[in-house]
Amino acid sequence: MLRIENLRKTFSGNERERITAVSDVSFKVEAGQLFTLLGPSGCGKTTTLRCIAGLEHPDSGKITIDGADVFDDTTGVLVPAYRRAIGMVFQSYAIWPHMTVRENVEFPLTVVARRHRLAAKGRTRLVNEALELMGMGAYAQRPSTALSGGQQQRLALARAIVGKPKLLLLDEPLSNLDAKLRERMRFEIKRLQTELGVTAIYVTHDQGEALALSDEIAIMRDGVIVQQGNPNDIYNQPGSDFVADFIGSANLVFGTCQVAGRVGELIEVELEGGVRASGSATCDLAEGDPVVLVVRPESVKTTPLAEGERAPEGQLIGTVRARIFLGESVDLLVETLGRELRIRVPADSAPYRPNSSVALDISSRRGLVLRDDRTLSLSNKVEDELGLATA
Amino acid sequence: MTITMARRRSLLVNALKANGFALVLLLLIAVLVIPPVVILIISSFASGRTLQEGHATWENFRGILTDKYTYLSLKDTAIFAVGSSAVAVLLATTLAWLVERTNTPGRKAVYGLLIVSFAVPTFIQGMGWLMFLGPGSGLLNTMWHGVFGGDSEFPIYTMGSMVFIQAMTLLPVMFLLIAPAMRAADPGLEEAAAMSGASLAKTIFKVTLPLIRPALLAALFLSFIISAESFEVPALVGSPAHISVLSTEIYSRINSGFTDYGSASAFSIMMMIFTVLGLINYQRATARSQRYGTIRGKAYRPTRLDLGNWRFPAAVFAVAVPVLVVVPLAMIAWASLLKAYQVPSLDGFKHITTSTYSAVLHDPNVTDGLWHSMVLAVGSAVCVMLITVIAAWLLVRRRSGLTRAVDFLVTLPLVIPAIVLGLAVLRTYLTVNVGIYGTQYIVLLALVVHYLPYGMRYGQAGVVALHPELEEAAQVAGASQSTVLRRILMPLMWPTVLAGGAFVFLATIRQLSLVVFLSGPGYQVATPVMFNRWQYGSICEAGAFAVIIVAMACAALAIFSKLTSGLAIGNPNAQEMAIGK
Repeated sequence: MLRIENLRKTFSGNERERITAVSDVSFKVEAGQLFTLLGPSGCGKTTTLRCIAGLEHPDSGKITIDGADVFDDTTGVLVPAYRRAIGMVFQSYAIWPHMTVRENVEFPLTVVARRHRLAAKGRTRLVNEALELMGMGAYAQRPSTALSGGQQQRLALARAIVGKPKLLLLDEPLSNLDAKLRERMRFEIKRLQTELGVTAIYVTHDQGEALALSDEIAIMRDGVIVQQGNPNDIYNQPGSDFVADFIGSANLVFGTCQVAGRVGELIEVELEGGVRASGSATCDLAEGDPVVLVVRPESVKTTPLAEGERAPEGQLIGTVRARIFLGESVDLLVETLGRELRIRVPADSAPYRPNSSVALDISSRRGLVLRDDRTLSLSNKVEDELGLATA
Repeated sequence: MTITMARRRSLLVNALKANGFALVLLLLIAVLVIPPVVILIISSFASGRTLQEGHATWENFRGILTDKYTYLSLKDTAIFAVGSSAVAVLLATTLAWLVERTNTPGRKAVYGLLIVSFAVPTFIQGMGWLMFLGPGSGLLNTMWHGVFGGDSEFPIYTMGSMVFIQAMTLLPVMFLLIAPAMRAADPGLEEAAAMSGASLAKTIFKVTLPLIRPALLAALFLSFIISAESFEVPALVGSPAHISVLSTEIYSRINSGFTDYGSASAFSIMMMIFTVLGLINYQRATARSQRYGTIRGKAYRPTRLDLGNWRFPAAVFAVAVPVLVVVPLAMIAWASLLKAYQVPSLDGFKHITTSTYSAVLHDPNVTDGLWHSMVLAVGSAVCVMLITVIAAWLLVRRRSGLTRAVDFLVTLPLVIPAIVLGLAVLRTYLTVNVGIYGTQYIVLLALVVHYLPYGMRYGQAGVVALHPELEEAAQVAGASQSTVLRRILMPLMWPTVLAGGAFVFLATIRQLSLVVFLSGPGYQVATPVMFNRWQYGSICEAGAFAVIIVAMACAALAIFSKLTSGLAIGNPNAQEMAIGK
């Protein structure tokens, strides 16, 4: 349905140097799928989407929508945005304030090429359909400025689908909504997409949204796709510490590989503090390779220690620095090995007082072992963002 | 293959179209703006009455730089500009604080009076002040004599009263600049200061004023520029007092018996240096105020400070100041109802007549002048907004070297004082004969050049306020460039265009110094005609004429604010409201 090949897009920055937004991106989206471009801000995901829409002109590469080339630098094809017949939802919703709700939705039908244009009656039917589908039928005559955030979002969706496009582009559509509404609209979008069977490209920086909605996820960083796969694979088999870090609030612990092993095998790792742990390898590793052990907050077994008590053999000892009540669970920030680990325990477990000692068993359940390519210095920024997002 | 060739060619055509448009605009603006500047510079280095017969010389500059009167008028320009802007900003700030941040009653009255007086040409305000304060026949002096006897007089023809009158004419603009900043400053910040134990005075001086400092600085520099290049008050008050500033110096070098273009041009160059200095500071200040401006954003209902019993004296002050601004108008209205001027008195009411009005309205010079002013005002508003809205859109959405050049040329006239521009345009089209000298087109051209930067500010604010996604959403929905322009851009930009157009219209009607050299027997414009009447002592006729102009301006103001549902003028939130966010 959609095919992107070697897409590249640069912008002129300040002092005559060019900024590369998308350096080499290729992917394919099957018809009816919801495909998500996920990544931190500045990773090139929105630029990629805008190239598909025709709002940015790529430097090179090829974009094919439904079998027709819309951009190809080798042949010079460049179909302008208004001839691509796609629907798009913008981050700001871009609701035209000088039109009513109905006029906003009807607009795409009134501007298509004359020979495809419907008579007034047909247009009204399509507009009503789209409004009903989004539960906005009652608001048709309202001025579009008199809508709440959620209603604006529905209106933007109705406008994007009214022309029955084959491809729907969504640019961070939920980022302007409050948390509760965001949750609800997530399901609405999924429902709409499956009901219409439309192919959708979804851009977001929110890993939760991506995991919940997508058939396929491509994680982008610095203008390239670093990993692509279905949500399950992405979550459970992150290919790099960057992905592991980005996709969940995982703890990353550094160490060295003890015994060589192949992909999928259980590997023994010596961590910074001399403690040993094991996890399944995500790539072939040799003895002595620097590695990162990915420890998810929910997969650490925690036991409180009395004062002066020592941790059992093979376990880490840490100090509880903070305790965050989340409802069904409690997150602990535990200082160990000179850094803080986030650990999730059930809400009804023993009360962990701040500054008390705990024993941490990180090898009881399988972690993931990645090669340490020291990208972490770069991904610290991401970690901070996530820390904010989850805290 | 042929299809892709055709597509490639259409790509090229599109690129040419986009840039070609900017290129045409650039050429148009260059043709308007560059010749007067070039001719002015050449003229300042040329001897002789016309540029054709003259030769290059330093004589003009040597002449004025060795003249001790030059330094005197430089000094007086500085005193006048600094003094009047300081007084105006001080008054405007106090007034804005009382009206916006405290519960002083009379808020609507203050706004109403100041907006009305904004529509009154500076020159007319000055005339009114002279009738109010002037020697011999001035109202204040007469009252003083009536009460205390003797013949001591209020000294009107002094630097002090020049500064005061100029400050009063500046007050409405300064208030309308400062009040929004006062309103926008988050009261939460003041409350936070109060919670930390700061007294009211401490809060005002440590929090409120520093918060709006950028806006205050911007107002200060702007009023400095306006005063430094103003002509009206110096001509009315300064000339009889033999106080000359740069603008009146230029005027007298052209309009005295011996026309000396060379030294007038050299003076003009000096005056431009003055304005450039003010402008650099102004732009620094506004850049800073924009940075401060981004602090706000939360919707809130401003809480006003309770002044307690001080409310009533505060209200007296708050209303008295704008009333003072309107007093001169009353004096002019009084004069317009008389045949020969006399001080207002009960006895004077017996002589009230409308015959001055009918005399004025039967004078073809006056009626022509009024009609021409109207036509020029509409013409300049349309031309300026047409050029600047397109230029602003190109600059904001299609930033390139070309559009930056457009921006530079559009902003350039800001450094040319009105009276200098008038002179430069006159000199240019005397030298280069393209057949517009002595016609309405030369006046229109000067007006358009002068108001380009102002139109640009409106246009840019308008485009910036429009989220680019509003246009992109239409493109993706299937609308071509021309459809986006027609159905999205134009309707959304309309309030901006109206507001900018209203500003240019009103400013054109007020304009005297720019058109004073360009209006003449061939093509009369209202304000210079009125200026001549006053100079030749026909006070009542000048008064009647002034009342008609003010009425026209007020009517226009009313129509414009009706059209824009009261949003456009004096309401800085107009754009935000128009976008609905």
